[in-house]
Amino acid sequence: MKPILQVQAVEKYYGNKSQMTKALDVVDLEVNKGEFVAIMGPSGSGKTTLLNCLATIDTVTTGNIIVNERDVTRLSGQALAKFRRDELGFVFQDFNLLDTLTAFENIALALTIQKVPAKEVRARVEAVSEKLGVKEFLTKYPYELSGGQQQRIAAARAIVTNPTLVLADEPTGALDSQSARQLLTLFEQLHQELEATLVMVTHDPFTASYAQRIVFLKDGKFFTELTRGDLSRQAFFTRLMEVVSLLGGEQNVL
Amino acid sequence: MYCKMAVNNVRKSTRDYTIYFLTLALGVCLFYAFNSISDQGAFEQISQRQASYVLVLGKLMEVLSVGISCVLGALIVYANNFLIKRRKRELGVYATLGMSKWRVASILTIETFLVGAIALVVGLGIGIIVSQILSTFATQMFAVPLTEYRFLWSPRAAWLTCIYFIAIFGIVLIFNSFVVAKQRLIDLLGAPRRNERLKQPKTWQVILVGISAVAILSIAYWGAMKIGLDPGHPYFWGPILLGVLGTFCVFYSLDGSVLLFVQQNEKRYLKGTRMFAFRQMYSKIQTNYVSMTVICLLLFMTIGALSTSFGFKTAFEKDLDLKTPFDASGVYYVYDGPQGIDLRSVIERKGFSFDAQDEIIQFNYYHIDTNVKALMAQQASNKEEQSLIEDTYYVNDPHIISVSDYNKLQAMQGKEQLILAEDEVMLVGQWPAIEATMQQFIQQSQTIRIGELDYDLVNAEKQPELVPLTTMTQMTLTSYALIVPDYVVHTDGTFVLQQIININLSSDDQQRLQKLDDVFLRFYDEDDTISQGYFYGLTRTGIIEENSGFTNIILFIGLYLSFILMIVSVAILALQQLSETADSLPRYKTLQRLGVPTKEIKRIIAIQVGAYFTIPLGLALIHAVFGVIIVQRYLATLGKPDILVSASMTAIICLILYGGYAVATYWICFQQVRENCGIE
Repeated sequence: MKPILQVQAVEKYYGNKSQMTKALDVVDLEVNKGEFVAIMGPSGSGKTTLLNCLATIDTVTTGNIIVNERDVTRLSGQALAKFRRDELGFVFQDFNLLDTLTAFENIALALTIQKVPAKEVRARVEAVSEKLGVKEFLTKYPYELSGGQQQRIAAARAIVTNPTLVLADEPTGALDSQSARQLLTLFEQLHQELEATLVMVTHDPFTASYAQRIVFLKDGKFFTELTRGDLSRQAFFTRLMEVVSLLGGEQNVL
Repeated sequence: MYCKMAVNNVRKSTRDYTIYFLTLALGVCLFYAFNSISDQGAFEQISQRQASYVLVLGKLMEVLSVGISCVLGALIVYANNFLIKRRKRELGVYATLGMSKWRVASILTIETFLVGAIALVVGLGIGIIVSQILSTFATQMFAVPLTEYRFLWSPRAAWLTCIYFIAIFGIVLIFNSFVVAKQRLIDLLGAPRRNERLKQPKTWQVILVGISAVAILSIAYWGAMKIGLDPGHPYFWGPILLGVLGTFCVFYSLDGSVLLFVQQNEKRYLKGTRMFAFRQMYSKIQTNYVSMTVICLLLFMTIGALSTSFGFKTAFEKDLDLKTPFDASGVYYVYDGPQGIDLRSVIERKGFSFDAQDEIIQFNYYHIDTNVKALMAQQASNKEEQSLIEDTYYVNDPHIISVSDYNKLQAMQGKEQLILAEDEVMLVGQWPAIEATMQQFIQQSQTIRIGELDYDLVNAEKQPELVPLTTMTQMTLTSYALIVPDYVVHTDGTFVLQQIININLSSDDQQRLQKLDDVFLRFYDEDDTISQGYFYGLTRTGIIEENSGFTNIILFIGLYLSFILMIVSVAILALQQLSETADSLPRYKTLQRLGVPTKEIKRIIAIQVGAYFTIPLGLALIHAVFGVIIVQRYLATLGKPDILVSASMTAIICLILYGGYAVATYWICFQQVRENCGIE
C-alpha cells in the first residue's frame, strides 16, 4: 500500500545565520491510510513544528511533505487554502470553535466552504453528529457546552468533510480526564469504523497510548518508534512509559 | 526613560493610533480653518454692510467652538478608552513589574499627548491649506472681489486651537489616571475573552419589535410632515421623540430579523462563509445597537444641517436677477407722515446727485378694501402658505397699483404695455412665498370684489408670473400686487400706503451704485426720516450683500457643525469596527486553518465594514429625505430652494469623508487579521 503521508528529510530552521535554531533536523515519517499515529516528545522536541508543517500552517526549510501523492511544500496561496479545505481536518487543543456560530453551523461551515450544496449539508452534519453522539447539542452555542462536548463538535467538524488526514494538536490538553478518555475512545472508533487517518501530537503518554503507532521526537530528530500491534492498551502504555523515561533520562547521564 | 518607552510604544502601535490620529488631525484642521475665516485679509475691502456680518460670523464660530471642543474631547476620551482596552495585557505587565498606577497612567498620557501633538501640528498644517480654500470660498460667498490673492494665516485661530487642545488634553489626563486606577491587575493580565451570550433571536420578539419599529417610524414621519417646522406646535417634539424610539427599535430588531430571514432558506444560508459573516454582524449589532442608534441620529443631523444650509443659500439667491429688476428701489412708508413727497429730492438732499440719463420712476401703492386676502386664505394650497396668509403680517391685503403706473414700470424695463378695461384687474406676484396659492387662486377665481364692485381677474387663464415691481420685494415683504384701472385709486376710502421710487442709473457704474447705497444707509444712521414717515432704500448690491451675509452665516455654521458631527460619528464607527476585529482575530485564524482563502477573508471583512458603515447611513438618509422635505417646505416661504444642488453637494461631501474612513477602517482591520493569521 502506498503511504498517504510521506515526510521526506524535512528540516526547519528558525532565526538567522548568527543564531540558528534547528526545530526539525532531518525528519522522515510515513503514515499509511487508516493509521492512527501519535507523535510524542518533550517540549522543544519539534513535534508541534512538525504538525504545523503537515498542516501547512508553517513552511519547511528543506525537504518534502507528500500527502496523497502531492507535494504540499510546493503549494502556495489559493492552492494551499484549497488543500487545507479538501484534504485536512483539524482538532486543536483549545477547540477553536467559532463562538458566534451554533454547533451545527460550526460543523456545517467546513462543508459550506467546500461549496457542498446546501441540501446535502444538513444530512451530512446530522449523520456525523449521530456517529459522534453530539446530535443533541447541535442547536447550542459553544459557550453552552462543556469542554469535552466542544472538542467532540470540533472532531465532528474535522471529519465531516472526509479528509485524507485528520491532524490533532494536543486534543486532550484542555480536557479533564473523563472527557479526555471519552474523546480518545471516539478517536479509536473513528479510526476503526471510518478508517480515518489520524496524526496526533501530544506530550501526554496516556493520550498517546490510544494510538496504533507512536513516533518519538527529541531535539528535532527522530528518536524511536513504538507499534502497538496486538498489545493491550495497558501493556502498550507500560512500554511507552519506558521510552518516555529514556527520553527524559538521557539528560541525567551528563 | 518613561518618555522613551512612550515614544517606542507609539512607534510600535502606529496602526492602533491611526484612526485616533486621523480624527484628531481632522478635528484640529476644521477647528482652525473655520475659526480663521473671518480673519481673511480680503474682508478689509468689504462694505460696511457685509463687515458686520463677517464680524458676527467670527464671533459665532468662536462660541460654537466651545461646544465643538467638548464633543471632540468626549471623542478623544472614547478613543483613548478603546486604546487602553486593546493594551490591557501590556499595562498589566507594567504593573507586575512594580510600576505604580500613576506611572502607567503617565506613560499612557505621554503617548496620547505625543500622538496628539503630532496631530496638532499636522492638523494645523492641513488646516492652513484648508483655510485658504475655505476663505476663498468665503470671499466668493460674500461676493468680495479678490483682487490679489492673500495668504491667510490667522494667529488668533491658531492660538485658540492650541488653547482648546491643551484644555482637552488636561481632561484626557485626568480621565486616563482614573481609568488606570480603576483597573484590577487580574483583569488586566487575564484579559479573558469576552464570553458573548449570544442567543438565537426569538421569532415572535423580532417580528414584534420590527413591526413596531416600522409603525413608529411611519407615525413619526407622518406627524413630522403634518406639523412641519413649527416649534410652537404643541406636538412638535412628538415626531422627533418617536423618530428616536423608532430608530432604536430598527437597530434592536434589524440584525435578528435579517438573520431569521436568511436562515429561513438553508440554500441561502448554508453557502460558503455566509453564515459566519451574518453571525459576525449579528453579534456586533446585538451588542452595539445603542451606539448605532446614536450614530444614525448624528448622521441624520449632519445630513440635515448640510442640506439645510445649502438649501438656505440657494433659496435666497435663486433668480436674484429676476427679483432685482432695477438698480435701486426706495420705499417711503407713509404712516402719519406727509403725502406726496418727491423721493428723488429727498435722496438728493442726503448727498447723491442724479444725472440726466438716470431713469427714475415714482409711484404709489394704495390700500383699498378687497376680498382677495379672504379668498386666498380659503384656497391656500398648503398649510405653510395658509398660515402665512392668515396669521402673519407678511401677506397683507394686496398692494394696489394703478395700471398707468404699472405701464410706466413696464416701459422702463422695455416690456409690453398692459391694457385693462374698466372692470378688469390683474394680480402679479412679487416674491415666491405664496406662489402655489396664487396659482390656485388665479385658476379658480373669476372675479374679485373691490369696495362694492366686482372685477374680472384678467389673468384667469394664465400662469401667475413673478413680476417684481421693485428691487426690494423680499425685504419689504410684499408678496403680491393688484393692478387696477386708474379711476379705482381715486375712489373714496382709498389711501396711499407706500410711495415707491425705482431707479436705473445711466451706466453700469459700480461706484455710483455704491455711493447710492451709502446714501441709503445714512437714512438708518441719521434718524431724520421724513417727519413721521419712514424711508428705506436698497440697491441691487445692497440686496445681494444683505442676502449673502445672512445666508453665509447659516451656511458656514451648517458646514462646521455637520463636518464635526460627521467626523465624530464615523470615528466612533471606525473605532467600534476595529475593536470588533481585534476581538475576532481568533475566529479569523480558525477560518484560515479550515482552509478559507485570503480572498474570502478579505471579502468577509469588507462586507462587515461596509454593512456597519452603510446601515446607519442608510436609515439616516431615509430620515433625511423627510427632514429635507420639511425644511424645504419651510424655506419655500423665503424662496424656492434648488434642492438638487444642495443634495448633491451634501452627497459628495458625505461620500468623501465617509468613504475615506470606511476604506481606512477596512485596511487597518485587514492588516490586523493578516498579521495575526500570518497571511503573506
